[in-house]
Amino acid sequence: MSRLFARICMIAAALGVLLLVFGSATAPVSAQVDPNASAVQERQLLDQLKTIQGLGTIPDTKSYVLEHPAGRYWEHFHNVTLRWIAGIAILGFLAVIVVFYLVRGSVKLQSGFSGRKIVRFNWFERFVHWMTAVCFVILAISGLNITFGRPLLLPLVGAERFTTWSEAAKYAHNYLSFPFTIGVVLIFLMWLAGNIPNRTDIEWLKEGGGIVGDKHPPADRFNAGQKLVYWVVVLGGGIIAVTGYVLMFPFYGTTIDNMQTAAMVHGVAAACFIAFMLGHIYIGTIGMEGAFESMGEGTVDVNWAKEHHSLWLAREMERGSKSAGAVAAE
Amino acid sequence: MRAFLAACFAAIALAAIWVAFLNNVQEPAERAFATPYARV
Repeated sequence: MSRLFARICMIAAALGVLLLVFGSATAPVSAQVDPNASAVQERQLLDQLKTIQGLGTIPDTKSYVLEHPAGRYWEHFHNVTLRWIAGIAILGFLAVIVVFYLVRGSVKLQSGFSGRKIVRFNWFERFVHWMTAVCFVILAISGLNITFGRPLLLPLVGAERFTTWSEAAKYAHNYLSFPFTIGVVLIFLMWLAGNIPNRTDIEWLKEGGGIVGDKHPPADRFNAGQKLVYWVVVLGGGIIAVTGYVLMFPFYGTTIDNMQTAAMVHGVAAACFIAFMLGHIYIGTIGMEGAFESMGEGTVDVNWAKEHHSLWLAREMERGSKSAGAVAAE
Repeated sequence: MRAFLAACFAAIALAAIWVAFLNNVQEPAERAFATPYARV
């Protein structure tokens, strides 16, 4: 009996071992683990989160932001899009001016210079204009360096010279923003009354303004083209100034998003402003005979005034201004 | 010419005023966010 029992136990143990061995062998093999299956993809993370930030201990809490995904769009705009916009606007406008000059030539004084002068702009007006203009030129050059300096200038002058130049340019850009803004505000106040659009401007434009064709449509102190320049300076200059100060005072009530928007607006507005001012500089220098004298010396020839600003001349003559036919303003 | 020269001087003078103002209002980040004590 005991031998039978022992045999039964041995068989049962053997069966148990067999079960263990074959059971584990036929158990399902755990699937190959894909370590990336449940991981968050970088694009998904960037699209869903406004910022990726952690915790820190230093007082500057802005440093806790590790990634600001929108910055990639801004970087692309700054390095690619803005360069295209500014390049096309400025070079395109310059090309139009060159072609126009080659085809049309400068607007000559048909009746010739009489030798009699009339005061067109007084000392203060010229002072404000030149202060704004000088600041504009330096701001434009230093600003274009920010957009185009690295790809265009750096390869030519090398890293050391480019760094020195860019540092000086950026300081000039920041500091001259103040006199430029003062100039724009003074221009707005000084010439607002004479730059309100009216029906005379429509008629002036219909007749080509004297620059398209040979007509000399009547115009007041400022013709429609000059009024356009005025409002571009006031509105464009205002937008550029405001966005510039937003950037000059970072995080003064603004976020990184706000400043990125301001930087984009500032860049586009400045590029268009520069392009437009090329036209103003053209017409005030080589584009029209006798024009530069008005802002250079303050006086214009009476025949020039008669051809280009007849309504203004008539009013001045009627007023019996002491400067009519008198000496130069200075 | 005098108006132009005066304009240049005025631009420089106004820029100098702006320099003084900015230096008074703003300071470098490492100074603005520095703490007077050590953290251990």
